[in-house]
Amino acid sequence: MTTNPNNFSRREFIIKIGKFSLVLTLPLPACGGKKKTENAPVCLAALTHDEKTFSALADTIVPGCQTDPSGAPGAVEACALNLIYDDKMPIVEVATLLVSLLDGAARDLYQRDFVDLNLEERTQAVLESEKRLPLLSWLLKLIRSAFYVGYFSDIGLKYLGYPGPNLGYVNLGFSFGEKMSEELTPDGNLP
Amino acid sequence: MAEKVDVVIVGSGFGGGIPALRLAEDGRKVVCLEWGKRNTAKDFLQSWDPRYLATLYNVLNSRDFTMWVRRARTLGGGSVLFSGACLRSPREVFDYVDLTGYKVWPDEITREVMNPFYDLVEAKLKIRQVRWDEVPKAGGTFAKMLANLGKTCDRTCFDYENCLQCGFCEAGCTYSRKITLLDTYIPEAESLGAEFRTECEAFDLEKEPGGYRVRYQDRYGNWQEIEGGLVILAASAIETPCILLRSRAHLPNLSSQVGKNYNNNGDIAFYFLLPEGWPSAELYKGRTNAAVMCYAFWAEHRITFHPGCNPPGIFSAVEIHRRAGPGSLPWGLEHKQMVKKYYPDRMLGVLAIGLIDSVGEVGITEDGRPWVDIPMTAYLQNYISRVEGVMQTIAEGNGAELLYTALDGYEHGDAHCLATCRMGRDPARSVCDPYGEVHSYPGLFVSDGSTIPAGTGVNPALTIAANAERIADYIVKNR
Repeated sequence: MTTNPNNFSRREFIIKIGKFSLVLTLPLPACGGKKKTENAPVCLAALTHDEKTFSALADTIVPGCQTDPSGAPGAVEACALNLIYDDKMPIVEVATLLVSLLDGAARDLYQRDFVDLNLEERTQAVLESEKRLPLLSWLLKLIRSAFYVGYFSDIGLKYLGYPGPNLGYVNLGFSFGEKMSEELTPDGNLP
Repeated sequence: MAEKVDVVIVGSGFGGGIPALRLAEDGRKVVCLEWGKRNTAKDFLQSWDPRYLATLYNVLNSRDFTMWVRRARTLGGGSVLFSGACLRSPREVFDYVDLTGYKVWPDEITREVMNPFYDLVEAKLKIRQVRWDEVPKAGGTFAKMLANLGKTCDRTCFDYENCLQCGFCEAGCTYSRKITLLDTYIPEAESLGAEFRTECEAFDLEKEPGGYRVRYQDRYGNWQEIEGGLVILAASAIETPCILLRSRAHLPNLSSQVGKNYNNNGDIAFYFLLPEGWPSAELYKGRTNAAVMCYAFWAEHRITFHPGCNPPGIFSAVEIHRRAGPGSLPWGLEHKQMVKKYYPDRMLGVLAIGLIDSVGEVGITEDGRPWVDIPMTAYLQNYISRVEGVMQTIAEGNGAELLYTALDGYEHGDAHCLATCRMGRDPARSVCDPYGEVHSYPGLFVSDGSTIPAGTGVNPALTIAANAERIADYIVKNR
């Protein structure tokens, strides 16, 4: 794991300096040149080659505003890097291996590093990488979860129109409220 | 010198929590070892954050990474974290004969034999069939799809009271609306002196004069030993065989079938893309299991279907995709656009459950860690094709499109793990006898999903629970 001279983990370091607002000076992911708002997440910035590679991977799995023609946010804006570099996740320990895998596939297909490819090329490189290491699909799930689960930010949930957890839908018409089909059994159980 | 009690139970889910009460009621001194924490409603979150779920579940990859299985890791086990669907297995389940001609359920166990034990669990957990106005729109939509084909669809039975339909059943009910073992069997057992030791993980056991000694690691990482005149293993269909396999040096006469015959209940997940113009299915509103069950294909195919409600997190865990064309990958720009366009109004998830032969296996690595494997055999592929054919019929009959899960079109079920220590009369074909007692080892019982000899045709929780009641009844009367 990347550390700074004060022996903080990189994640701790970013969080700590974020408290002093210095984090605003970092190239944080943002869409359409919008300023950081109150609810905007503090995403880790991609500074090293490994981090830039994972950021490019995240942008391949759920393309964000730099890639999606609609300008809608994606996994990068949902702070997928924070999850990849979360100490509780097993990715950090094999980060270099995974980057080598992606770069290896990218060079074999296009003679360039993964971060230098366009979306279509990155897509093909990910597919090739999955063939070489089926375990990669777990990293893809993790990246998708940053966007669709929404624990660092609700940016993906808002994009989908999901209102989020709540006190329940009893009074919000969750049911059609009427019989929808004939039934085979008297009590829900087959004999 | 090891601590001694009458009964040591490993696992506090349906398989362990139920015998704990019944044996405590019989005056036995019971200690139950549970590897998870004592979580209650105040500890649960409405979240699918994998870091949170990792505190409740233990997830295991298959060796070829084509599937994963999850085991509950909390006091009360699966009763706390399952969808709440409680259905009786149809009669034909107990008559199932596999491809080798082997009748997998022992003759002693029939639906009629199970009925009184189903009654016990249903009464204790207040299980009842939901009303139509308690069926989420996802369930109503699926019922309508079947009605359009002239097929039936039945309302499901649950152990809920006044469900708020928030959709986080499998992350732990934050509103205490699911009636679990934490509300019933476990506190009742504790009131009778049973002790539930949480964060205690059993490793192995060995035979001692007058019983068995269980070795476990406590919450502080210290190794402990406890002896029981009886030992009941109920640590899940993944962990229970692993405990036995780790104990093989001490229990040399164990059946060769330990860990064999892993059965995922024939689970296959599909998604329908509903046609335009239909009322919104509102996928995110409603209990995880969308409260209807289709039995219409049971007689011909031995398959049942039920839909689910899912928050968007489903798109991270399940690889929902089209078979061809835009959206044929479970990620990427086209996938994102497909999800945006159709979720939550028109993407409806459905789980198929079917009677299939047991072709998987659970084992341990050299250092004793579990592995699981379900090879993709021609037999399984044929079953998948059969299920897909039925689903395609439902889709086409409604102008819907059938979507797929996982890159090969087959998402193995991850929660309905069965049959790894199956019951039977023949030690060459089974691990324990029809009452859960391990062949050659009197006083050593198994009472969880691993004893269930094959698929249950429906969600297996109620059958696992009723079977645990049946085994507990046998022990009380005979041991």
